[in-house]
Amino acid sequence: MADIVKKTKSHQHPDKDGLEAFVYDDHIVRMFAWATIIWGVVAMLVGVIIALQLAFPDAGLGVSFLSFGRLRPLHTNAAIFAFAGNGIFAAVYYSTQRLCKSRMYSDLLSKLHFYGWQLIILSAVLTLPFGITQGKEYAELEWPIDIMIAVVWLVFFGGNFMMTLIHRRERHIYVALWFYIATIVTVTMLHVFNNLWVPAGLVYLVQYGEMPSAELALKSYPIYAGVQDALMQWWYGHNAVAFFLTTPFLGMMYYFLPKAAERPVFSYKLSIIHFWSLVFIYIWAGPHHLHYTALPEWASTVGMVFSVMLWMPSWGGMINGLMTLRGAWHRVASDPILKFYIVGITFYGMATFEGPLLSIKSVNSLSHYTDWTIAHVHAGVLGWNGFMTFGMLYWMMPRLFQTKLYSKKLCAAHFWIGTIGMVLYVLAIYAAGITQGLMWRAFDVNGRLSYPDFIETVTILIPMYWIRVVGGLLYLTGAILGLYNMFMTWRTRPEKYEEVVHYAPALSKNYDGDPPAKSRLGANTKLGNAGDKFLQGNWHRSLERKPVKMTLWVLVAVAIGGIVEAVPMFLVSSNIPTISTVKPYTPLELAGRDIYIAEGCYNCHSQMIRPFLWETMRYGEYSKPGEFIYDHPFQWGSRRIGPDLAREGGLRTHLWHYLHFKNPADISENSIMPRYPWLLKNTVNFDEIRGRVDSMALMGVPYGELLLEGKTVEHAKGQALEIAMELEAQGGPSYEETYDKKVIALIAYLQRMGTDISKTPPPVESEVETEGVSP
Amino acid sequence: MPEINKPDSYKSDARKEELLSHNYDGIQEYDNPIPGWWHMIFLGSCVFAVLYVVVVHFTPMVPSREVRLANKIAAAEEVQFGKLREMPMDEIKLQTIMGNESWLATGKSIFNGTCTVCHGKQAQGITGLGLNLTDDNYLYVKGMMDIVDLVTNGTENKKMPAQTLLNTNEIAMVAAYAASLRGTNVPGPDGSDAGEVIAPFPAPIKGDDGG
Repeated sequence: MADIVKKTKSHQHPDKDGLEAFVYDDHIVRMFAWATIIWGVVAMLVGVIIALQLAFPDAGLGVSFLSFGRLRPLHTNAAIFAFAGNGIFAAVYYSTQRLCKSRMYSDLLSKLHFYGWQLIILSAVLTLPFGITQGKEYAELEWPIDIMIAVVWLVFFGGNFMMTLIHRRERHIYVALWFYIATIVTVTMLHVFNNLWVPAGLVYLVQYGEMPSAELALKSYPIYAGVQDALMQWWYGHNAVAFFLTTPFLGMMYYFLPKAAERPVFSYKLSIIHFWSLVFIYIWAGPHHLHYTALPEWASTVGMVFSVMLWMPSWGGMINGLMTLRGAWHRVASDPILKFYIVGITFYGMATFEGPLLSIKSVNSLSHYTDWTIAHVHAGVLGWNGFMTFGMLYWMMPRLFQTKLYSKKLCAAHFWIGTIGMVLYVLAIYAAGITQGLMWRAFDVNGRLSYPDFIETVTILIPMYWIRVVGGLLYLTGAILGLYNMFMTWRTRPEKYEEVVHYAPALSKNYDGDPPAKSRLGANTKLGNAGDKFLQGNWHRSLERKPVKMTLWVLVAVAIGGIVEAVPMFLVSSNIPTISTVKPYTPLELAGRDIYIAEGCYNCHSQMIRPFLWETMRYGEYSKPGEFIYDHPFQWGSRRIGPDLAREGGLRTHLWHYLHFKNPADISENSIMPRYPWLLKNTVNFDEIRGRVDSMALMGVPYGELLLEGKTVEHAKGQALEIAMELEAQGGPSYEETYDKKVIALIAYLQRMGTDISKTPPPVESEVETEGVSP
Repeated sequence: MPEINKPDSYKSDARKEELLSHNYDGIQEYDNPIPGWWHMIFLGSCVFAVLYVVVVHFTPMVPSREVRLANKIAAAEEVQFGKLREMPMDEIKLQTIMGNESWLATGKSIFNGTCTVCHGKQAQGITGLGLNLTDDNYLYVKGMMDIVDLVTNGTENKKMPAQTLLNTNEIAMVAAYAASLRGTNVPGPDGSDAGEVIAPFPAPIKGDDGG
């Protein structure tokens, strides 16, 4: 019986009553649910490993692919795209079919989506720990994977979803679906525009007719540089939080919460207004990640005020969530699923209050670069995303496996262990962040920094880092209990899943079911009556019948903020005043910079000195926009686990850097930087530096004569020899042993950092740009 | 279960809630109004946004961050260096610093942020990187002003780099502090005592006030 129905295409063959028969595809939901919990455990495990490395630096064992800088991107990508991502897909595939009274449009697309996405995650696991990265946070995956993401997300997932909406049998689309639409549209936009690159391997291939190495084949540079790259990146980064970790989870909440609570949604009106205000305002808020950086102040202000305005739109979701539970509170005590939801939504409320708070410039001057931000995102991901996902999984388990949940007690244990772990984690890291932030800006009675040695501000955090490890372990333990519970539930599944056949009429072409709005005013002016009709919101009801139109409106809403911020930044040159002494990196320095990126140095070191006395006293002159015009990608960083490096050039000897990479603890007692023994052993491929330089030249970096004469490789080798000989003279190993090693290229880059600005301009171009304008 | 917790009891007491006709896979929606405080705070945040933009960017009330920094730096110079700023860079300036506890403390603070990475936390030296500054042996220094020269320009053989982030007064203070460490004789690692014994540095000059 079920088999027969399965064969019928869901949107065809009306039977004689005018009803169409269809069966929901729960198989795909089961697959995504498994992927969610399994990748969740992996992501959290990697998180615990890197947390341990901060408390106990040698936990990376001096092994390249276990080092913090390489594993941290794996942790963040796995948590966001693998754990939360698969959770989103499980939610979308389960709820969309039911909200549309339709099987997913294409089983093939569903499967391509599932396997494509797992392949992307697998590619991340196989590239990130090996230093194959674009060096932009949460956009680390290299260009071939970027293309896979675009295809899988937009074509397989987006296409399948939109076609399901179009072939639905429910007249209106429910608020959960609006949020899914916003997710699909915006993530596509963000992903594409933040991942426009020049692949260095292809450039080499075109120029020299061969591909020198897999490393270069996978390497790419963003077309944006410096300030512009930073703006694009945080437009992306912030809205990845918005449209990957917020909107789909609100959609998830709007379906699974009323289901689990068996209560109607609190307010339809609120869902309309908070949906539109959220998607419109969120997109503007990105620049709050760049307060007091070289980003022009106007952009920073835009980011801040929109973040403040975002508070209530975000809380609209929380209100609708918590208020929907009214009347179900008596069940919360006995139902761990509702407990997950309550804590999840509460954490959402806290994180979305804290977000606007942190976006206020003066608060941000304290929090930025500290663990405060890390605590904030973990409150969001562990509390909101994690707990909403777990709540959903537990609710779905008996339904998907058509049996009883193996153990409600284990489920409750998961809740409590997870909650305690999460609270330990965030409290320790809040304390760490605020402590370090205050220490950085503390002055003594003589007007000097109270803690001039950066290490002092790190050592004091170690006990809190241990608490974080314990908190993370507890949260991971909870997730493992969840996996076990799911596995045991699965084991008691029926031999063959029952496929329930549903019947519903196809949507007719003509529909006039929505009552026309009548003005309640009876005013004499047309405008007044029209305004009142608008306020009653019937127009929105009719929009809910037109998913394509709604999609277009969402696109308009999310496009505006990005355009207003990005276009002036690219077109108005006064945003980035040039500095005549800032020159492109030499070929060797460029190669060294790529090593800096590959090792993930930006995960612990910033390259951005903010215009505060406590920063300029510690790190030197504050950073100017014109200093970064050749930085593809920018490497400003977002966290100072180690000190800022913007003016590192020339401060220390080559030998110091060499020994420091060998083992930081030898030189700097209590340093938590890991060892980098492989940099002293692995060699630089000088030949492929041509591909790197040519790619830069393609994007307009003026390499001039160097390229015309084909002397890139020669130049790189010359500089490497020079540095290696100086290293030897300073007491280092013989230059023959070191000149072709990666460490030399990296030192070349480090010694260049931030030095151009203090060079004397050549006499010919003596007209230095001035920022001040005299009246 | 107490009566008050029953789902329906809520409806009867507070305002009447109306269910809309919407039904999606069994999910219904109330036609509840949006809470008033939601509107108030949302509008408030919008008003704040406009005011903030106007005040910060279109009135002279808030100076730019560059101006604020310059003011801070000027004020801090006064606190940190006082009358030192007028003194020429010579031995007397260093001796004056050595005779003043708070300036010496400043020198120490600069030393901890700049020099300890190579010379060690107690200036005892680090093998291969920095010499012991607490003994009487000196390799590049004959007199106190040579310390100033080293910090300003580094050594010719590039074993010590110039400390380009420090201004003249900071250099004077850190040099004076480094000179003051002589004779504390913290044992250092092998080789950190390179160089030869030089003549004693001139004695600190005690000032009458802290400057």
